[in-house]
Amino acid sequence: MRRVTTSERTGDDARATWCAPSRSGSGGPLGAPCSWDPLSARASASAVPNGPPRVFAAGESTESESETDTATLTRLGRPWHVVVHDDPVTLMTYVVEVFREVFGYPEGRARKLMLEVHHKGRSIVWTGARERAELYVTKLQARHLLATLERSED
Amino acid sequence: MLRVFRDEAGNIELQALPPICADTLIRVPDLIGSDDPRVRSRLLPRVYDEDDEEEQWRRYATPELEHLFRSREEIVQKDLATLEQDSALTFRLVIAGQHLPAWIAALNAARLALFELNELRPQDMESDLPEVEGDGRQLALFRIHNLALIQELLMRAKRRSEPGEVPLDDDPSEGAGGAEADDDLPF
Repeated sequence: MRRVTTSERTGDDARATWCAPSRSGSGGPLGAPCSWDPLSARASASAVPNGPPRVFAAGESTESESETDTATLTRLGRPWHVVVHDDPVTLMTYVVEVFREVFGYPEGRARKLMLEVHHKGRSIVWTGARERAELYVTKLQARHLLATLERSED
Repeated sequence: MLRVFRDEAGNIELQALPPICADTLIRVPDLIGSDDPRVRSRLLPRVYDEDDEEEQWRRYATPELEHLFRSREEIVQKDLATLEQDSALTFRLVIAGQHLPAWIAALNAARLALFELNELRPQDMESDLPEVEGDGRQLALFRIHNLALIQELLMRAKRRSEPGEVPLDDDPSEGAGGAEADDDLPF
């Protein structure tokens, strides 16, 4: 099970903690809040059996452990971009309709994003927590738009 | 001339379909179910840059999408059973109202498959047919444009709330209101 801290730009609680969709069949449902809070757990990471992966070597000092752990959490907590890429076949009107259906965007915003895809070759159409980003990419691919996920540099 | 009607129940009837349109529609299930690697990689493109993340995606998300695409094939096939001649040279087709989202997405997939299978180039999409090399590629491009017309008409029909004929030219009421969720999608 992968756990990440989200800070979505969509107005969701910036400290909400989400469980990744279960890859092994043992996790919670997609996007369901889970009880483990990495912000509070950071101070006692060794006491958390299913905490973030330990990327530091055994024997390192607590301070170094804490610093590395923070870096890991920062990396894991970075939002993800849903990127839609241009393709020469899909109708522009269809792309607008898909953006409205999938994200609930108003016509103007959907059209603006479609034109950005068309003119620039790609557009970041949504940014936020990984689980929701994956869900959006699934929806976009279900409608045959070229969609990918990129970790935000912020 | 092609005409499209929406009835009280939301079902769509396409009338006076030219033979080439009817022939192309019959091919849609096979196109979206093609196991040609070019088609599969376009319909299920890479999502992540990193290989381990992509592997996880392929393991857990791709089967769901494959299942959805197979369901669409069956839905389209079912409606295609209504295809029949309505004159000596034209055909009619009835699409169940609840199948519209599946049809619209399937037509998009079929267009993408035709593009890949015939190795068309982006510039071909903007070209006149005679400018495209090869009879097979010209025919494929013609089919792609045919399916685009039908896809556009079905999108207009889906947006309509009133029964009646769906206009072939620009509908000034388009874009009003919010978009409806696709009923054939589990997510």
